[in-house]
Amino acid sequence: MIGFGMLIGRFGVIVPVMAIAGSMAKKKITPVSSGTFRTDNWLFVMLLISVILIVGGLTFFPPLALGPIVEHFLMNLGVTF
Amino acid sequence: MEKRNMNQLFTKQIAVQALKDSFIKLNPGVLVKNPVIFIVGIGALMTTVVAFTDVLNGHFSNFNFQITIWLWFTVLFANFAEAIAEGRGKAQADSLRKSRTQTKARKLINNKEEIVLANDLRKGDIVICDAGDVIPADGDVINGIASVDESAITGESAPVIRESGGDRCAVTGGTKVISDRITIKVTSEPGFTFLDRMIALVEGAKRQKTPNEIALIILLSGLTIIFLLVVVALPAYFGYSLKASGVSANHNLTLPVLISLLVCLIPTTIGGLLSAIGISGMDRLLRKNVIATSGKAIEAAGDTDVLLLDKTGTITLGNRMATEFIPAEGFTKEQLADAAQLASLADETPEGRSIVILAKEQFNIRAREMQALDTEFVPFTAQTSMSGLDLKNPDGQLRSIRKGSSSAIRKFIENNNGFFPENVEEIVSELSRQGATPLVVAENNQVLGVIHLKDIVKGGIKQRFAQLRMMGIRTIMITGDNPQTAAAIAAEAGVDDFLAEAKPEDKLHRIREEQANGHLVGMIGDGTNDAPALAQADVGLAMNTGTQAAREAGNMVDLDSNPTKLIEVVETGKQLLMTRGALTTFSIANDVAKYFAIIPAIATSLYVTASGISPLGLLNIMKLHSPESAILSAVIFNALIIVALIPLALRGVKYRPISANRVLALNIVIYGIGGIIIPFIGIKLIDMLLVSIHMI
Repeated sequence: MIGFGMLIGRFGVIVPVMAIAGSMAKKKITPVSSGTFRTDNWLFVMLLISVILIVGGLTFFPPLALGPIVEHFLMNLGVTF
Repeated sequence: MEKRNMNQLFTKQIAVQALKDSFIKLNPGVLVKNPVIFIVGIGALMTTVVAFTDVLNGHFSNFNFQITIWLWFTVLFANFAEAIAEGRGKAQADSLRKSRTQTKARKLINNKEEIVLANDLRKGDIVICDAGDVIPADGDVINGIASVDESAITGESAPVIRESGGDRCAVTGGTKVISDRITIKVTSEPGFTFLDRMIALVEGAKRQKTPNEIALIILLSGLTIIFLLVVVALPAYFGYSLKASGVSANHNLTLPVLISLLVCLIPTTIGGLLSAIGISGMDRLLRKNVIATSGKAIEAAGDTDVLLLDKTGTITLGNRMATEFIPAEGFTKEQLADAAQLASLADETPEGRSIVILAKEQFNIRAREMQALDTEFVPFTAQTSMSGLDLKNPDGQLRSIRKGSSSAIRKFIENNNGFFPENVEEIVSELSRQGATPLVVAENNQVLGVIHLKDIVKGGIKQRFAQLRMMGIRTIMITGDNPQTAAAIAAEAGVDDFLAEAKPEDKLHRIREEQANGHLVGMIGDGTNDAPALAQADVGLAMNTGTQAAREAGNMVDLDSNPTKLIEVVETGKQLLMTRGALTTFSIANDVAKYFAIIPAIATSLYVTASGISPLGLLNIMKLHSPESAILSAVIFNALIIVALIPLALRGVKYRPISANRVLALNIVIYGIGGIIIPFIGIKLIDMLLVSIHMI
C-alpha cells in the first residue's frame, strides 16, 4: 500500500512534468524585447519564491497544523503523545 | 464619477435578466463547463443534504443552514458575473439585430425582379437596391455605384461610397442605400452573414474557450484537485492526532466545515469571473467598433509584438501638402508662389488646394477670379504628368505655366527651347532625399522654382509609437514609396522599420519572416490583395470599407475603417490578458487569509484542554469571535468578493503604456499584496458584523 503510494507520488508527478518539458521544447523561441517577461531579475526571483511558498504553504499547512503544529502547542500545555 | 461608471456597466434591465440567467445557469450541464464553480455547486448540494437531514433528525443547525445558503450564493454570484457580461453583449447585439428584421429583397430572376424575404436569399443570388432600400444581405456590388448609410453597424452618420469593382465593392446586410441604384451579388448564406456571426459571437452562443483560457482552467483545476486532496486527507490527520493525544473533544470537523474549507481554498474568484473577463474583452472591442471573429484573436492581439502599419492614413495624413516655395536663381519666392497658385487654381486634388492655401498664407495672394482673364486650363494627364494653365495677359503676351515632376517639366522646358538650371536639379534631389515630393514650376521656357510637397506625419503618432516600443511592440511602416522617401518618413514618425515599394507579396513574405523568428504579427488591410497577408497575420484587422475577401481573411473587422485602430486593438488585448492575470493573482493570494481564519477554527473547540485554552487558537491571529463565525465569515467573504470584482472584470484593469516588467511589478503590488491583505480586513469586518447582529 505504501509502496503503491510512493510509486504514484513519484511517477504521477514526473510524467506530467516531462510532458510539459516536451511541449516547451517544441515551442518557438520568442526574441527578447521590453515586452518580454524577464526571468533574470530580482522581481522574478521574488515572484517565484513567493509563489512556491504560498502554493506550497497552502498545500501543506492544514496537515501540518493538525499534525506537528498542534503537537507542539499541546506539548507546551503538557500533553504528550 | 464612480456611480456613473457603474450605471454604464449595467443597466437595470441587464441586471434583472442576468439575475434570472444566473439561476438558469445552475443547470449542471452548463455548470460543468467551469470546473471550479462546479465543485462549489457539488459542495453546496452536499451541505444542503446535510442541513436537511439535520432537520429531519430533529436538530436544526443554524450554522450549517447559513453555510449552505452562502455556498449557493457563491455559485449564483459566479453565474451572475457571466450572465451580466453576456447581457451587455446581447444588448449591443439586439440593437444591431433590429436593423435586419423583416427586410424585403428585390431578387433578380431571369432579369425580372421578384420580392422575397431577406432570409430566403442564398449565396450567389442577385438583388437590386434603389435609394431608400435596406441592403438585404452581405454581398459585393457587381453593377453601379451608390452612397450607403452604414450607421446601423458603424454608428458613423456620413454615408460611404460603394461601387462595383475595386476595393470598395463590399456591402453589409442591414445598411441602407441613400442614393442611386446598385446590383448586388449575395456572398453569404442566411444565418451566416457577417452580422449573424457577430451577434452569435457576442451572445456567447458560439463562444469557444481560447487557448489561454483553457490553459488557465487546467491550472485552476490542478489547484482544485490539490486542495481537494488536502481537504480529503484532513480527517485522517485529525483522527490520528485526536486519538494519539487522548484529548476528548466534541467533534466539529463536520462535512459542511470541510466543504467550506475546500470552497475557500479553491480559486473561486477567478473561476467565477473567468468567462466574464473573456466576454467583456469582446464587448470592449465592440464598443470601439471592432468586431473580433474569435476570442482567440483578441488574446493574440495582446501578445502581438510586431505591427505592420500602412503609411497612408495611419502614419501620415492621407495627402501630401505644400509646405515651402523654393525659388530658382533669379526669381523671388513671391513670383514662384504666384505662378504656382495660378497653375493650381483648377487643380482640385488635395495637393493642388494645399498650394493655393500656402500661397495665400505666405504672401497673401488671393485666388483670382479666373473668368475675368483669358485662360485655358491644362488638366493633369498620366502621359504629360503635369498640369497648369495658358493665360493671355491684357497686352497679348501668352503665359503658359506648368507644374509637375522634374522630368516632365524638363521635357516641357526643352520643347520650349529653354534650359533646366542645375541648382533646381540640386533642390529636387535634396528634397527627394528628405522624403518629400518636389514639384517643379515653370513658365514658358523658364523654371521658376520648386514646391516642397510633404507627407504630413500625424500629430502625436510619434509618442504613440514610443509607447508601443516601451511595451515591446515593433512597428513596421508599409509604403509604396521609394526607399529614400520611406526612410525619411520612417525617421520622422519614429517607426522601427519600414518596407518600401511594398507589393502585397512583400507584406506576406515579411509576415512569414517575422513569424519564423517567433514574433506575433498584427496588420491592417482593406484590399483583396491584402487578403493573403491578413490571413497569415496573427491579428488581421480588415477595414469595413474593404473587400469581402479581405474581411473574410482577417480575424477582426474595424467598422470605422480607421487604420489607427490596430493600436487600440492591441491595447484592449493586453488589457484583457492583464485583467485575467491580476484576478488570478488576487484569487490565490486571498487563500492565505482564509487559512488563518479557518484552520484555527477547525480545531479550536477540538483541542480545548481542561484549562479552557485552545492550542491551535494561537493561530487565530485575527481574533475571530468563534470557530463558526470564522468559517462563516470566510465563506461569506469568498462569495462577496466575486460580486465586488465584477465591475473590475467587466471594465478591465487600468491600462498603462509601460514596459511589461513595470506593469508586472505594479500589478503584483496591487493585486498580489492587496490580495493578501484585503481578506484579513474583510473577514474580520464580516465576523464583527455577524456577531453584532447575532447571526452566530
